[in-house]
Amino acid sequence: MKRPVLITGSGAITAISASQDELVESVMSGKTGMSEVFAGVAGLRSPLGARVPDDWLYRLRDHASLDLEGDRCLLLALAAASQATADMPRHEPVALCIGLAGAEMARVRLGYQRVIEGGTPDPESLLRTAGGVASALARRLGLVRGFVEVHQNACAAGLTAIGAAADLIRQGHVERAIAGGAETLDYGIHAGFDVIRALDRTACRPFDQHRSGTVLGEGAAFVLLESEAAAARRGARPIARLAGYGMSNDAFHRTRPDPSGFGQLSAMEAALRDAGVTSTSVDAVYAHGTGTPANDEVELRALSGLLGDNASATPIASIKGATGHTVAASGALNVALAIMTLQHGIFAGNIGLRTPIDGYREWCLPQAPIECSARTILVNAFAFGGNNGAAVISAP
Amino acid sequence: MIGRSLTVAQRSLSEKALRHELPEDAEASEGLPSEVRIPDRFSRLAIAAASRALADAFGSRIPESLSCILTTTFNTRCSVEAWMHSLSSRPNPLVFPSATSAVTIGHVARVFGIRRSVTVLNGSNPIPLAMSWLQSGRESAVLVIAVDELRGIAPTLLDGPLKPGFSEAAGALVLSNEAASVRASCTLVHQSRASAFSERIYGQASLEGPLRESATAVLRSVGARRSADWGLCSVGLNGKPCSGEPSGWARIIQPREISGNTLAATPIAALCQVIEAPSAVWLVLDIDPYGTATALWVERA
Repeated sequence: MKRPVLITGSGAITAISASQDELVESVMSGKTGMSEVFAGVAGLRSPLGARVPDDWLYRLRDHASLDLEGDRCLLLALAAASQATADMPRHEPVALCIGLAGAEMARVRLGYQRVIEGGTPDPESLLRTAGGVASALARRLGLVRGFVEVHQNACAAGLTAIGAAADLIRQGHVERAIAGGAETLDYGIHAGFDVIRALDRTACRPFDQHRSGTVLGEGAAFVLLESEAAAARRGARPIARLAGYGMSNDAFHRTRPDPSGFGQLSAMEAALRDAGVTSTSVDAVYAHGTGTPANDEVELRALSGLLGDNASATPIASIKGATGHTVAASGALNVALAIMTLQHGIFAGNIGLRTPIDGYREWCLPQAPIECSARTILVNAFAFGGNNGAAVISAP
Repeated sequence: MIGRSLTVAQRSLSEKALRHELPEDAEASEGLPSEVRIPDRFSRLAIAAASRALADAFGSRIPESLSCILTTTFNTRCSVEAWMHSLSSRPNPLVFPSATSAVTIGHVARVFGIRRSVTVLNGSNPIPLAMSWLQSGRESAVLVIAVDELRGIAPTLLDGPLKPGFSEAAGALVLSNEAASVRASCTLVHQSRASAFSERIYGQASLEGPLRESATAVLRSVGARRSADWGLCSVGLNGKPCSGEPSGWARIIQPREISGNTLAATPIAALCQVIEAPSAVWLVLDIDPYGTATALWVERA
């Protein structure tokens, strides 16, 4: 019998909501965070991005030494992790498992720009790595004991970090872990997705027949995971359970998913196995749903293989039409959404979806939020390099 | 642990210029299909290290149950640098994907047919996560790869209170629950970690606390006390054991003295040296660039 892993805190910040508490209101109102963030930048096909308003980050400016651009990922992570850990004891050992992708990119890009323009190399910028951002987060959260583990498998990183943290608790290595992911919207990454033609010029339209790419967004999402004993000791009330997670690799292509969906299906099956449930228990799915032509159809194919006859009746949604694709934070954000659904009975809609992909028009791909009394929710996160992650979030 | 490979540049950054690089033959991936084209050196180093460790462990038959963890301190910084130069002139779609280490592990998975759990760690010792996967039954065999490519501008700026003397390295280990066909066997009995949460790379002058805490936890968990029969393999600080490390050990190995600071590959260098060393029981201590110390209790079969 595996030790249960309880979720006792959750925090999120995205372009549509400053906190986990605001997430449900933003989802209910159908709000989107898209704007022409990179308007006027020469050479870009798409100027669209989903940026967190600066004034939401100014609320954290008691961290006065932080720069709104260079330390943006740290600020986002602080915002979400602080919500998740508001009443957590700081002096007991805590593992921080974090998924990061472009966390250090802003500083590194500015550092190289200076070098390219003939300036002196600045070690503070050029030696910045994700590990430093993670350690800075630990210090600023006030942790005094524990350790840091940084996952960097791109868009699957946040969910991988949550799964790794859950395993640490199950095996008794720690009683408590902060886990999640953070991502910043930086020109260096936006331009990369733009040049490989992965961005849509007009909107992010998950599961739409006419989708032509994603839109990048920024944000962070974290959960506080605890053993039953640790939660009971401090009287913490669980808001959900992390029942299981699974991973796989497509072993197919450096950026494209395996069209058969085998790798994605393997990760989802592994998550259900780990949770000790079958596919008939899955009440809803927060999908990866990037809006790229390659991902979305493969994901629905994989879900069809997993859910079988129940596939068309199971609500499936991607939040990326509203928040943009938050890359390393995206899997953790799906966990935050699952918690929202379990708490409020509201399931997010597929903002931007008008005409579902051929062959899936009868499926439950809601275009607006719906009421949903789910008890078990599957969440997905897939990445470049064929990296796949899935997790099962259950009612406490 | 059933397979291993380690290639270390014997020259360090302290020798000026960029003569710390691994020789080009360290990138060679003998026996790979010719159609496998890997565009970046970081990925080629990872594949070469993995290829040798897998051959050591399994010969030519790689099991379907294989999973993989890649760890690196500087990540794909050389490709990031190339992408930054590309951005300043004409962005190149072939360069951007190589700037992502998720793509590197995707190359590794594709080349060796790895379809199970994979992830990339930034600077963290990968052994605790591999042990977690094995001990939980999530996986039965884990290929652990560590690579740091020290070309480009950033590595030349490395310095700090520890002045570690960095060496480029690529190493790999195969850890397995199935010890039947063991060639180089050791059992990692327990692990513990503690951190000083340093925000700067090698920015923490005093790391005794985490080292002491992790070592003490492991010794307590295995019911061990310091013994003249056991060895201590420690990264130490400035090439010397720090005051936080236990004393009175029969043998002491310091990988850094032998191979320089191989960054993410240091734990792999430590375990490779433990396998070859006379003592059968070792406490292996390591501390990553941001102050997370890891203690491993190793019993050689």
